[in-house]
Amino acid sequence: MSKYKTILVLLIAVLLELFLRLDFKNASLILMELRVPRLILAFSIGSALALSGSVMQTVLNNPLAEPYTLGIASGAALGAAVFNSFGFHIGLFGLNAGAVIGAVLVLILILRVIMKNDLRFDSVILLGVMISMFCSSLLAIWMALADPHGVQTITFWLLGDLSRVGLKTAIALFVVSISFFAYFQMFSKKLDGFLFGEAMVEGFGVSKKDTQKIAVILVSILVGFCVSAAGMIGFVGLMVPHLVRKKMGTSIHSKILPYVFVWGGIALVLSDAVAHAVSYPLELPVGAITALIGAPVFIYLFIYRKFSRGSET
Amino acid sequence: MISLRKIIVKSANGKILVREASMELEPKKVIGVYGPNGSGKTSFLKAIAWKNQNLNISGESWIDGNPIFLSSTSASIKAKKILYLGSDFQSAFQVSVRELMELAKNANPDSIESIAEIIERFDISSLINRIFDEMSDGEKQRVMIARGVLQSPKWLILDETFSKIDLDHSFHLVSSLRESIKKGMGIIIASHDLNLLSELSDELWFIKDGKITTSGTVEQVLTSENLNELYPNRMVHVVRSPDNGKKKVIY
Repeated sequence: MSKYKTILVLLIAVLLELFLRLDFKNASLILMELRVPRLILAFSIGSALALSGSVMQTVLNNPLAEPYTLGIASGAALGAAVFNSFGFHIGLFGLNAGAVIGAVLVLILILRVIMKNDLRFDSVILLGVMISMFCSSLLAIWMALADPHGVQTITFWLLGDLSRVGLKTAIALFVVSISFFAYFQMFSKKLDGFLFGEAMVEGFGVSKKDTQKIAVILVSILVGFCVSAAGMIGFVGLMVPHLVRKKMGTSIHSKILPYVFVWGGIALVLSDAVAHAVSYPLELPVGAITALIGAPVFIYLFIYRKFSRGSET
Repeated sequence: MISLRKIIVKSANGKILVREASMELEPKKVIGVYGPNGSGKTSFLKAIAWKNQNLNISGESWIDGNPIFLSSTSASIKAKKILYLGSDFQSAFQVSVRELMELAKNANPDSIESIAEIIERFDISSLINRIFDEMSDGEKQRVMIARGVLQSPKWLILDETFSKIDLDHSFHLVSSLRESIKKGMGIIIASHDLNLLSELSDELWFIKDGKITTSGTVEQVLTSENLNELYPNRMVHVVRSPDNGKKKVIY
C-alpha cells in the first residue's frame, strides 16, 4: 500500500464526492453549501471510525471489535437522541455531549463484563450486538414517543446521514479527528504492547489497565462526536484496519495508523458518493452502503480468522 | 538478587496454591523447577514476577531493591527487571518476528544485547521475517526465548517455554542461555524434562503441594530417593551421562 496509490485514490474519491451528479447550473452554490461540508464530514467521520476500530481491536485483543459491533455507536445514538429531545445542547459546534455519555456508559459496561468473566472473542461481540439491539430499540421507542417527527429521525440515527450538518461542524469534526489521530500516533508504542495477547502486555513494559482506560475513554469521545453528527455508520471501523494490516503485512501502530486514518476517510467518502449518486435525486442512507460491503467482510473474518487464545482453536 | 518475603498464592476462589515461601535468589544462575502437574510451579513463578491476573498473591517480591509487588511500580521498570514467559504464544494480528524483536528492544533500551547478535546466537535468521502467528508452536517458543534474552531483564522466567522445542534446538538454546548467564542474567526455568534441567541448571527445586520440598545443586537434589518422594508409585533411576557425567533420569 504505497503513499502514491493512497493519494491517488483519495483524489478520485474527493472528485467523485464533489462532482458526481452535480447540477452544473448552480454548481458553485451546491458545492459550497452542500458538497464541500459533506466531503469534509465524510472524511472526518470515516477516518475517526477507522481509527477507533483499530484501537479497540488492539486493546481488547479482538479483531472483530469496532464501535458498531460493540454497541458503542448505538449507546452514543441513544444518548444523543435523549439529550436532543430534552433540548440540552451541551457540546461544541453542534457536537453532542449526550452521545459521548452514551458511548462511555456502554464501553464501561462491556469492559466490566469482559474483565470479570474473561470472555472469549465471540462472546464479547455477541454481547456488543445485544447491547446494540437493546439501545437501538430504546432509541426507536424514545423517538416514537418523544418526538412527533420521531419516526423519520430514527432512520437518521440507525443508518447514518452525512447531510445534516453544516460546514462549521464538519470542520470541527475534522480538527477533532486529526487531533485524536496525532495523539494515538504518539501513543502507538503502548498499543504495540498488546499485539502478542493480553498476558504479554506488561512484559513489554506497558501498563495494561492504564492503556486500556485511556484508549477506551478517548474512543468513546471520538465515537460520540461522530454519531452525534452523522448517526450510526457501521463496519468502516472493522473493514479498514483489517485491510490496511493485511495489505501492509504489519500491525505496528506507528506504521498502520496513518493509513488507517486516510483509508477510513476514503472509504466513507466513496460510500457517500455512491449513496447520493445511485438513485439521484433520492438518497440512500450511507450506513446501508457501508453495511452492504462491511457485513460480508465481517462474515469472512468470522469464518477465516485466527484466534489468539488457545481455548479457541 | 530476588528477595521473596512471605509469599502466599491463592486462586481466585481461595484455594491455596503456594504455601508461605521466603527466600533470596542469587543472579548469574539457572534455577530449575520441577514438580508434578498442579504442584504450584506456575503459581510460584508468577508470584516471583508478580503476575497477579486471576491469582491472589500476598507477600513481597523485591528485585535489586525494586519493589516488584507494588502496583505503583511502573510496568516499564518491571519489564527491565523480570520477564515471565509461558509456553503458549499467539498473536491475533499480523506481526513479524523482526517486529517482535524491535518491541523487546524498545521495552528495555538499556539492553546490552543487539538484535543482530541475538539472531545469530539463537540461530533464528530463517525465522526473522516470518509472521509470528504462522509459525509452529516450537518455533514460537524459540523466538520468544530469544526475545526474552534480547530484552535482557535481570531475571528471565521460562515456564515450560521449552515444552515444544526439539532436541537439537534445545541443546543449542542451552548453550545460548549459558552465555546470557555470563553476562549477569538469572534464569528460572520450569520443565517436565528432568534431563534438560540437569543439563541447564545450577540449582534444582522440587515442588509439591505448593511447597519447595527439596532444593540444592543438581548433584544433591537429583536422586532416586527424592524422585521417589515426588512419585511414590513409580520407579525412577538416576544414572550418569557418559558424555559429561551429569545426572540423567531413566524410567
